[in-house]
Amino acid sequence: MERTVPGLFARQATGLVREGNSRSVLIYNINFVSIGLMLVFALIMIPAFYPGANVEGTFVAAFVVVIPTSLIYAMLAAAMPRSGGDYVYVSRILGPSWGMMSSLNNTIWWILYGGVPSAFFAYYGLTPLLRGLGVLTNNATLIRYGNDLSTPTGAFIIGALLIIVLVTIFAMGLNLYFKIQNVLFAIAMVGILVTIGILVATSHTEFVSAFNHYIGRVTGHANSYAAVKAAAAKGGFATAPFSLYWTLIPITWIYLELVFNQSSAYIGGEVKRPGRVQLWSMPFAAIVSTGIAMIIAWQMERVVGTSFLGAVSYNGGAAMGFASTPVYTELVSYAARNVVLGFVVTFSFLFWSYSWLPGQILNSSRNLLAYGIDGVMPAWLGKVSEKRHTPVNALVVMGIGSIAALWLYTRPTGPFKTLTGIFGFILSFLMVSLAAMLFPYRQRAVWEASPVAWRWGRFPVISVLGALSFAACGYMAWDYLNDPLSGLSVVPHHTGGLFGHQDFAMFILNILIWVAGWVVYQVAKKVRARQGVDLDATYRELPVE
Amino acid sequence: MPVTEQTAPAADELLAAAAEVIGAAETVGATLRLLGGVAVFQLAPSASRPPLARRYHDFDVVVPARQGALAARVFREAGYTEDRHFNALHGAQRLIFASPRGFVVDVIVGTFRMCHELDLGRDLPGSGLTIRPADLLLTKLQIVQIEEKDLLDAVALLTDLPMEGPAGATVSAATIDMGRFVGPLAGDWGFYHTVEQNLPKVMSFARDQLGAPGAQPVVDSGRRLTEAMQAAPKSMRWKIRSRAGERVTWYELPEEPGHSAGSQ
Repeated sequence: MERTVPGLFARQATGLVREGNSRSVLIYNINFVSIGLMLVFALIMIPAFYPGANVEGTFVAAFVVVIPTSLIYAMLAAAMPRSGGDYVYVSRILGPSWGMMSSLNNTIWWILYGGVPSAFFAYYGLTPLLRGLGVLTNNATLIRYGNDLSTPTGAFIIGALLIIVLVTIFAMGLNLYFKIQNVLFAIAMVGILVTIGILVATSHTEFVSAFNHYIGRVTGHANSYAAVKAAAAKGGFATAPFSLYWTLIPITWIYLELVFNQSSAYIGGEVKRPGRVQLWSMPFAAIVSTGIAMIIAWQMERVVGTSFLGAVSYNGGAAMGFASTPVYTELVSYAARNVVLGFVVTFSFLFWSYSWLPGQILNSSRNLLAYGIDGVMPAWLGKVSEKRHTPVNALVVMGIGSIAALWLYTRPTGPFKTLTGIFGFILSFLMVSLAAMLFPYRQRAVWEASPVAWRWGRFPVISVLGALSFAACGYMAWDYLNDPLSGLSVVPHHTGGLFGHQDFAMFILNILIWVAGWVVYQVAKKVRARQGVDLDATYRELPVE
Repeated sequence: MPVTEQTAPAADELLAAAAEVIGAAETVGATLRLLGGVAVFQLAPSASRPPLARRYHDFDVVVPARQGALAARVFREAGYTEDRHFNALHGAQRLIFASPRGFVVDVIVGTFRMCHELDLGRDLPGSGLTIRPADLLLTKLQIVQIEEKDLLDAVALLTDLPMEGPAGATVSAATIDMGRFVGPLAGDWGFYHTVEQNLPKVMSFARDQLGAPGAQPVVDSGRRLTEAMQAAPKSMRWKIRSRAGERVTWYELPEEPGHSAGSQ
């Protein structure tokens, strides 16, 4: 049995000094959420495409839905402080084939989603930076360069370069990444503070005046603000009275980011004092991220105008002479009426635009490493660099997969939309929620010895929260299947091809990817059995770390 | 089967196993040296008899930073099994192996990192089984939450091994080189502070265990080390850090015993 190490399990401590202190872990979780991206999608999508939605209400509802899942991950990470997240929890509580099912599902979607933030780096990072500076300095060349970076080719090239750079950094060592991460996070947070300061100091009238001044130089319209609204109305944009339904449906765009506040579960082996740090850092990351985003969203609606936010997105930036919708940082930069402040706001946002990507690379490459070591996938995936002990083979696989996904994502008529794979992640969250519910019953000794052996009356707290999380995830699964912009549909619309409408094909793909891990495990079990290895037994023992 | 107090191997057995692996490493050009309790057992005769004798459950070795892979190969060829996940991810700093007999071996790769850091792998002795006595004593005195077993080891070292120094003076292998002991402390205030707090505990423990006359060598050595520490010129970094003092945490805490419940 490859993973059984005689005598190892009597050890209660390895004496290892872990790298991740509370600050690094909190930053890691907030980075994976990305306050900036959460705001981009909330402000671009909700006012424009969900008539009657209340943006602040959507944020609150998203937080309520996310927090039970955040809490169960926090508790499981505290109880089983080992890297791997659901690979550890689900395999230990429900069984190894289910653990592989949940884990491989996440791994594949992380690889596919590696293409998404790398495209965001162009769409929402570099394009607004160049375009914003171009507008502020009346430089048409900068505006054109900014627009060019958001074309399919531009975004693909920029995104591929970013993936290669990050994979290389991780191949050199995790310590290097953590040092860089904390510095870039500080820059990103400076941008957040400056953004809030500019908004608080700007009235709606002042914004309209600034917008007309700067964009008027681009479009030639004296009242570009009104022209944008008129163009959007002509195209079919309309506001609507408050609708609870349309407030709740676009939770999808906020859940997309906020639910990943639990990402430090996947590097649990690196976290210092996990019994405490993991317990508070995940929900705290959710609270901080939601709070800051709500403040900025509220101010953006006050200063820029909710209907204008909807109109400019609905119009896709065309009435401004742009190739894509301006993001909130560009609008804030106009409000600043100052090139330096505008630069600070748009430059600092670069580090929010791709901030999912490092965690995706880290989590998926470590999972691939584990699969290789455990024998469920080819052994070469489990190889590390002799010099640096980094999982280079797994990193290369991740990099190649993400670049391929990037190409798909940047195709204008491609099937892979921003929300397409979150349904797949939710399927894994459902499994983790079930594992949390059953943890005190199926792993009683482990639960009782853990820092989270709490009860409400006679019910284990983690079981109650697991049930709440299961319900919340169930709701979100329904939400993604009913959001008209999710790119998913349970109903095939026969327009030809194997599955007809591509939204149905994406739904089937989600299911197939989810099931794939279970199939892989069964195949690996049979193959390893012929080699004299009992794969189930290797999962029964969990070395300390 | 897990190693327990009742089934823990004898110190001689652990020492013999360590010697075998160290010898095997030498044949492939790797330098392994013992640290921890078994190293104390090897260097200090007092550690093998009451009241300073104790049980050992495992042995620890250190290897230079670039020889981790070589060390891993030596252990595998000697029949040890490894935690492949742990060694894959942490092998640049630490490796864990288990012997067929059931005890565990920690392999420190390069830098010793617990409450404080010590680059042991930089210049390991060219011969012998253990790291240098001064380094061994530092690894004991760097423990912030020092336990009885560490106090026993420290007392044994200070009882049996004479002091020698300062730096630059000829130092024989079985002595505690004061210059080498003081060197890392003069550049790291936190490390210095932990050691200056622990030396009185060691001296007091020695009196309890050995009585006043028996503890005298320990007390004398402890005082000489303290004086040497105080007299050593301090780096600018040390001086700046000393101003913050205990208001800023000055140590790391290794993994707490008992929290890895998910492993069982």
